[in-house]
Amino acid sequence: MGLDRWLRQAEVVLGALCLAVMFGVLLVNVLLRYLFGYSIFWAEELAVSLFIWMGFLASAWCAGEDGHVRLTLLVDRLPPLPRAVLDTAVEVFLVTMLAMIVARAGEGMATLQLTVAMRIPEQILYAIVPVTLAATVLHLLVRMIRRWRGLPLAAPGSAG
Amino acid sequence: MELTVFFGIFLVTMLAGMPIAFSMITASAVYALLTQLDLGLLTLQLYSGLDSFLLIAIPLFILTSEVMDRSGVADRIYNFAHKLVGPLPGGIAHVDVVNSVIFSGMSGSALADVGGIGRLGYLAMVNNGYKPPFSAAVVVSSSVIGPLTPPSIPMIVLAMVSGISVQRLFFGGAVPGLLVAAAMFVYIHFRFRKAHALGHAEPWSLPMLARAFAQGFLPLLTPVVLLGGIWFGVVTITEAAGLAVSYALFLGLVVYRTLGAAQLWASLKGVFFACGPILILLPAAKVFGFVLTMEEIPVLFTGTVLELTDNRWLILIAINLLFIVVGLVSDPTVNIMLFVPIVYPLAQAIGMDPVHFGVMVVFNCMIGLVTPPVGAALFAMIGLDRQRLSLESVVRAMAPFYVMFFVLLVLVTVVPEVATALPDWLFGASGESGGK
Repeated sequence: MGLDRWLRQAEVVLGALCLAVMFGVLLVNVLLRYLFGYSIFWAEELAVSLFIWMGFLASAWCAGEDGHVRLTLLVDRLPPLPRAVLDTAVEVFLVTMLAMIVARAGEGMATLQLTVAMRIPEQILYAIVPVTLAATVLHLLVRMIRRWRGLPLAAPGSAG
Repeated sequence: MELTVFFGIFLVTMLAGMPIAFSMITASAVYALLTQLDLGLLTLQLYSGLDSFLLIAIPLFILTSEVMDRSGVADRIYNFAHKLVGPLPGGIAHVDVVNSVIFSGMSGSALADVGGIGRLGYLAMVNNGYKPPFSAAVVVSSSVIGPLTPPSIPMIVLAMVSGISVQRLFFGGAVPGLLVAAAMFVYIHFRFRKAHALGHAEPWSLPMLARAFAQGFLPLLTPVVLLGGIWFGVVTITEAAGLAVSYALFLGLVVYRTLGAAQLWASLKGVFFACGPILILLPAAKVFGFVLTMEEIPVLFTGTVLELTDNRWLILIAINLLFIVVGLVSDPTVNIMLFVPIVYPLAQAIGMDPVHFGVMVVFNCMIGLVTPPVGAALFAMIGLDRQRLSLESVVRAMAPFYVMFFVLLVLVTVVPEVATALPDWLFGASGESGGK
């Protein structure tokens, strides 16, 4: 549980930093271009990579907060126990599938090479997908445990 | 067989309450397992779903409104609108509409409108004696102006999946967005024309208006800078979004000195929180769309419809009905990502202008955002004041606005020029220029 809370804080801090650096790089690049006619050739690639990192981090955090867009129209009509059973069934299925995607991520990423501009291994950038999906799995497992212990689902001290 | 399982898992998990993004991802993963596709490739597909320079504009536009909200700029704009239309009958309701129009030029999200300037407008209306459900209905209805007029997050998503020029889409939504504002103005005017008490009672004079304008002048310039930059082609959409953030920071840090490190950090975190539910939909729809394309669903769909009818009007009605129905039960980003690739070839086959198609689709999606059972803007508004608002009361108060949206949708559908005239005039009539 402590790990889960720590991880959620880390997602927020890292995501906000990605956003700040992304904006900074874009700003510096545009200023250099208009003032000195000079472009940093890797600026766009770095900015897009940071944006993607932020997006996946935000999704993992959001899963921990139950903030994703979902239809609750039907399940809201269920009595508490069947509802908890259904929620758990959905989460078990989701966790299983996400874990399978994470487990097989390495195979897909084996084909990657160096990025065009920054010349760093693409695996470093793409790793954000399995890492945040694994974090999502952890957040979901903690939610399941909390539900069956009758604890509030949003852990106190979370960043929301 | 695989396709049946794919759709089955998507529908069942979605109806059972799984987040829609994850319903799409799990259905695609099961499809990959069934068809012996390499599940490892899913990771690459997910990553590529966000791999676009254009999409960076989304967090940047959200950052602009976060910074503006925290630097007191919103109050200055509110004050200007208050002095401008406040004294009219029904004035405080007009103030909210004018605010939405001004903010629509800086932010591209209906939810940002409701949570930011909409909250101010709602409280002002209720404090001035308007009924809470009616006040909420005005705020919710005016929030659709934001994503219709440029800049617009749904238009960015639509441009990305369809390849339609984002500049043209941005300006294509401007006239329909302003028509929503105008229609609301007329309705509020006639509803309150005998109720002078519902304007504000403060004395009004031209110098006071001039002072409010002067105090709000720099913030009011934001849409001008932003749209001017895009129109003249000085900056791409992403750079324009960066420019808007810089300008908002300049106002908060240098001019008004209302922003500190704490507010900046809070703004960054605010963007992160806002992006959580939005951005994952793009990779999810990417993998889902990948399966649809593998199964040639868009081609089959266009072929099937054209076999049934090639009547332009029937097809236009069908496209509207489709987006209205899916808009009732799902999120605009999801609907655009999923259905635009399927329906756009059909729209092209009947010779629809791309901008006309895009604006019509976004208009439909925005109606979905303000209608039950899952309208996000509607629920965001009710969440702001649960004591005095219920879904039933707000929806009842929305009735005249629903009629208005319907009439405007018919207009946008029947008269393509409502959407296409402005971008054609700004960028030339050819569909190619101004495209990025």
